[in-house]
Amino acid sequence: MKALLLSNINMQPLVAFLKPWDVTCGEFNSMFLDLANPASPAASGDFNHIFCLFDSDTVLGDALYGNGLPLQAESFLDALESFCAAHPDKIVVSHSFCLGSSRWLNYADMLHPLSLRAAETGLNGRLIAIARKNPNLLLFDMEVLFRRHGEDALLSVPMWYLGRIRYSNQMFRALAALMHEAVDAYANRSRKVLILDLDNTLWGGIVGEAGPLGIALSEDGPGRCYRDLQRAIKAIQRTGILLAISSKNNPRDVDEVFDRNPMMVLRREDFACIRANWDPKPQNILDIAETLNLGADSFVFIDDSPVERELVAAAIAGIAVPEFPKHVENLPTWLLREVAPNYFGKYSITAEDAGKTGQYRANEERRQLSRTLDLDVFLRDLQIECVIHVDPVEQVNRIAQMTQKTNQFNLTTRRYEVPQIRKFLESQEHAVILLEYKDRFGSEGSVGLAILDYAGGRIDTFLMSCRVIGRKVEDRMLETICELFAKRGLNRISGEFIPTAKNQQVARFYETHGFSLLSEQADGRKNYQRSLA
Amino acid sequence: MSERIAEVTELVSSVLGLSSHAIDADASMENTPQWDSLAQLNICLAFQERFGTTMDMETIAQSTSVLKLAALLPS
Repeated sequence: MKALLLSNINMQPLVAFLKPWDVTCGEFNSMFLDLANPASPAASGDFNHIFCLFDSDTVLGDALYGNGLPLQAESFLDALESFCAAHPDKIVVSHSFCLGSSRWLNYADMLHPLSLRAAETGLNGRLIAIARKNPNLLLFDMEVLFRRHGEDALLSVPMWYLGRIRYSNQMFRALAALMHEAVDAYANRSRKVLILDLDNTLWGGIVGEAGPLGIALSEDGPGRCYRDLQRAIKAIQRTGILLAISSKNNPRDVDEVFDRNPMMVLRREDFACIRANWDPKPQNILDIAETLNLGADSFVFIDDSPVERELVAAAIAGIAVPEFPKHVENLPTWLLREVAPNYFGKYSITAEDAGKTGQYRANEERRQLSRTLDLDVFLRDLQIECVIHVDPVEQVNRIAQMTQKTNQFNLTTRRYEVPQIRKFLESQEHAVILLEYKDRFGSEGSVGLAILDYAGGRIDTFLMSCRVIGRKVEDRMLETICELFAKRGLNRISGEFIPTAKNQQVARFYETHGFSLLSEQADGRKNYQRSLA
Repeated sequence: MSERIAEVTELVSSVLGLSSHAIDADASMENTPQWDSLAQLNICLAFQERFGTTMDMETIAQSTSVLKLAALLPS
């Protein structure tokens, strides 16, 4: 990352906290000019990220003291909007307006026509509208920091008058951490699965001893800590994270809790996988990885027992094992404040995310069916329906997400962010193919993606979600690709395979689909060609 | 007191991006080229965070040496 930090105040102290990012501080108070001037450093090719971190009170100018409407803030938003639209290839990171608590209207501020509270709400509404229109604008909520740490701890009044530095180091540290998380979330670097223990994690006590109705799980009293934790877990699941259980228990005891305890927020169908037995947990977790067809390095494991945590962390490479809070009352906040943003940070939630658990559960049922039938009968029986979209602009977030997250059935593993995908979608020289899948067990949503480079006559990206592997859906997508190339008058297409640690299963994909090998490089990359005649 | 001075010396050198033995207890804005007025603010930001104290404007403006900063701490 090469980032330029723009502001209307002195934000130079933040640069040290943003390491290891390579951040250059713009000229003092150059934010307006840099956004508006097409010859500015921000507009140049030197920077791919522009940080627009402004001081809300200062942007308001004299309107902060009741002298008219916040027109200066409106022109800042105009400049920000034009800049984002003019530079779709740059990621602009900015934040909500958050005015200080010292207000000239004091108690009149709620209702007065010049209310600062109302001005702030209005400006934020417009800012959000700009971000909806320009997916390259990454917004985070500044107010969260002030609520969490308090204005008095974050502001530094003497520094403000000595050097236009608004904040204390506590703020610079917290702000930098928040920005790192937000940029990771924007790039879809989220983990995929949350594996949970049961006793003293999802509920208080041990079900084998206390019984399904004797565990601590309630709407009142300390049992509410666990019920609220379950609510928070359910909320994380809604963002597209899969849940699984690894618990040392008799399966019957666990079944009884699901069947009989009315205080359970999480139901059996919320879990993509349940492993309640007496086997070692690392073994169960590897088994879950295999069942879901996902790498255990995208898992997060939560367990109250330090022994289990250590065992799992030592046995499974790449799994995240956060410390468990010492006091149960901290469980819900800990999950939402630390675990979720650290490991499951999301910037945009797609329709796929909301239905993910259902898709994985349907997969389990399909697998049961495939055990009993031969492949062709099985596929016919599935009643597969595919819809193929060309350049579906409204799916830009989902498409970027697919390039970031698909590891196994991915021929080139090129990772793209939203601005680059948008370019492909809009370019006449490229086509983006998105395949939607449905069968009699339900819809899988968008599962196949290809990016075609017409000018180069090549398939840049070809990937399928591992959820549909083995159902010959890839054949249909390749057929469509060939038709599209033929329509453009090309008589041959080329494709490549770039090996990674995870995509061995498609190493021979082009060979088995009518392509012939042209060349192979020392690093294992292979180039193929197929004639369309 | 000497322990405090050592701690402040280390903090100042780290904010200025210098190795820890590049400056000593006698270092000040006058004899250290990297210690300019913006660096002074960065030093005071780090000082307040590290020692959990708050400095007023006048103190920030005047505490421009290792010894003056160390003198702000309880012995």
